[in-house]
Amino acid sequence: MSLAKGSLTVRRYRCQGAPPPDSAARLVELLVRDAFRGRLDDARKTETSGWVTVENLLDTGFSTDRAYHAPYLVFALRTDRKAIPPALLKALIDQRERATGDETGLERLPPGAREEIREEIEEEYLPRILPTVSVVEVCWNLQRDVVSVLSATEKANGRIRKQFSASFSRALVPMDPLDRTLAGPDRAARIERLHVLGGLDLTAPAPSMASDGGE
Amino acid sequence: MGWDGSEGADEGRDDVVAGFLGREFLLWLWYRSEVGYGRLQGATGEEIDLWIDDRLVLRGEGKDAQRFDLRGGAPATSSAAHAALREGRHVSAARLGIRVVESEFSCELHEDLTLRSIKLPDGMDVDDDPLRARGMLLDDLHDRLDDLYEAFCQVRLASGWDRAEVPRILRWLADEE
Repeated sequence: MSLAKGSLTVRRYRCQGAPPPDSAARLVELLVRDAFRGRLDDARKTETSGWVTVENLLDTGFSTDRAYHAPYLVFALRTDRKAIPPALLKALIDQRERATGDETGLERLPPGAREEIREEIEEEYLPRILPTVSVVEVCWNLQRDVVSVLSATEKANGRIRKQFSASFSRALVPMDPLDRTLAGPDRAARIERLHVLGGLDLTAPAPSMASDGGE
Repeated sequence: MGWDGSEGADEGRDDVVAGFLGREFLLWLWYRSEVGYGRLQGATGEEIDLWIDDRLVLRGEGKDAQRFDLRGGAPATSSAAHAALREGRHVSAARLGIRVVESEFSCELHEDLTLRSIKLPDGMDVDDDPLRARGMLLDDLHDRLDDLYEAFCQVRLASGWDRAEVPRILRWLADEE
């Protein structure tokens, strides 16, 4: 999903905490600092995340000119995950366990041996496996201090919230359309009123025009 | 809960929105768009052209309740949709068309206020930077929906809701308004 084209699904957040002075330039420096640094031949199976440009997921060449479309700072979070398919991993471990047993003449391998075999296999195969790559775009309106995340999934949004907080030292708080309605001095009374409301019953008979009490 | 279905800031408010406020907002948009010939007024007084587009989802209560997913044509004007409401089903989602000046937006609004499949108009007449143009259009859409939601909440929280708005909705449903 891309801000540049096509249909969008968005989650909106407002930023909590003071924005840095000289915002756009400073924020771009932070994007550069926390840019994606994973490698395709990485032997780790854990997730690797970092910021990339929205133009290309291999591109981490941030600059104010490229990322700042006043008032929007636009960037993306790339997350790579590597894993050997579980069934294949189990088969490989079983096979190597049997081979080790044959070599050593042991009927049962010592405790922890299976885990060591698993680590060996992962070290051997993970660099050869291409990662699963996901990219989620972020559009930050610096004027309003509102962040739009172009994904509805909780997993993707959780990653963005975590990385955003780590990079910019600011928390993302989900925006709520009720905030605007409830703003003002009678906020408490309105919240209380919300809780005593009953749902609308549409199976009731329609009243005649004469019984309409007006607003 | 937000337009995105995310949790709200105040404890306890989510239940209200998830319970019925979101679905009543959808119903109110439908009702107001039909009786107002597609023209609604937001809380700021701005007039917004809105219509239920080519998808309307209605469902009954409970986890295993039947779901009516009406697609294509103009499902909001169908007798099946009105009958489903009269039988106690509620609006679970709708594809909305929104016109602002000469630009048309389209999006799917769900009862938990999730906003999905947003289609923005061509923004190049707004700005020659496509990312800025699309960012501005996205903000425009959210502003309009926020404005309408606030207008709905003002009506919903007012004492006139039960006395005036509910009878009008029931008459509309009975095809009397």
